[in-house]
Amino acid sequence: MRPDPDQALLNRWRAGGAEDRRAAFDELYRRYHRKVYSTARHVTGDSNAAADVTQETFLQVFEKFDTFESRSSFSSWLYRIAVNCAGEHRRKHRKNPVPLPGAAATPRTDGQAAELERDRRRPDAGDPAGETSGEVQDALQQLSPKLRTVVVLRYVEGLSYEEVAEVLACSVGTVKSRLNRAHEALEQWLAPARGAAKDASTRGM
Amino acid sequence: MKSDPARHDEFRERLREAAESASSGPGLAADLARHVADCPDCAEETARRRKRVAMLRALPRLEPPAGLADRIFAASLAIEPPRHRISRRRAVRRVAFALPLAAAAAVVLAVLLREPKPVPREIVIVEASIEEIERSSPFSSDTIAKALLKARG
Repeated sequence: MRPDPDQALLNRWRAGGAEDRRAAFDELYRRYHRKVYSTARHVTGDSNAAADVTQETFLQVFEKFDTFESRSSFSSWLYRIAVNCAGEHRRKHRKNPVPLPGAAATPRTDGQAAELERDRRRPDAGDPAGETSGEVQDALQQLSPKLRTVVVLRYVEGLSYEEVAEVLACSVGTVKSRLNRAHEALEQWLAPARGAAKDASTRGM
Repeated sequence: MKSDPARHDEFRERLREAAESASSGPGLAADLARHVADCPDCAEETARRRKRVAMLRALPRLEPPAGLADRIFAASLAIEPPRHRISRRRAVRRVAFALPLAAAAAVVLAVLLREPKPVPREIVIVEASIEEIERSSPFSSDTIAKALLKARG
């Protein structure tokens, strides 16, 4: 196993007094809060939910740190807690079930729609035959939570197959299989948008 | 040379893997490149997947709202974890490690306690003639006499 880049901080937490533990927690928060929040934001699709999930994740880290036994890296352990917290949050606040491909997209509040729009990047918005980043982001929200989580960890967070498998406590084969299913679902969501863009482009000629 | 159509599924799986690599990475293996050239479906799927992967990777890391850190620190202050709480597994491991050490320390202590303490020797002054000393010592009477004179100053 590779050495954990957070090992010095983990040692400080374990060996030190209350002040050392607080300092180590502060530093771990500084290192990881953006990753945790962004993962939660992409997985939940909602900023308030992401803030709740981030808070719950770090509080669980603070509470459960003594049970962390370094069998995985600290970051994998942290991502696992975040993913579990996101799942727990979803179960508690289950109101709008994720629609199946082909159905109308989940209605969003004006605030959520504006927020997503603000977060989008459109590097190829002028490509009529291609998928825009905003469309990909919308399509991501239509995936089931399980598939969305794999896609976010693998592509947005840039984890390797092995790291994703460690976070989700599954095999690398399962990760690859879920990614294939995610691509197939994204394809179903994006194909109509691609067709509409082509039509608009043709009409505009 | 044409790509082997019987290996279509294998090529498709490998092409999906290849689409995961960065677009600036190494090109396709020769047999995959041949298959892409022969199979329009795989060529289209690979191109779309490669592009979609690039777009997913380009999705922004979303920034937490201002004030979230303060909120979390305030909440964490209320749940200071117990100082020495450890998991059962770690406790068992610590005991397993500590037991041999404790046994070794006990043995060392027992050995030290059994070591006989040095007994202060009693000094007995005995009056004896030079001849009596000579009989019970390896030294000559001259040597003994000189030693006595030296001792008396």
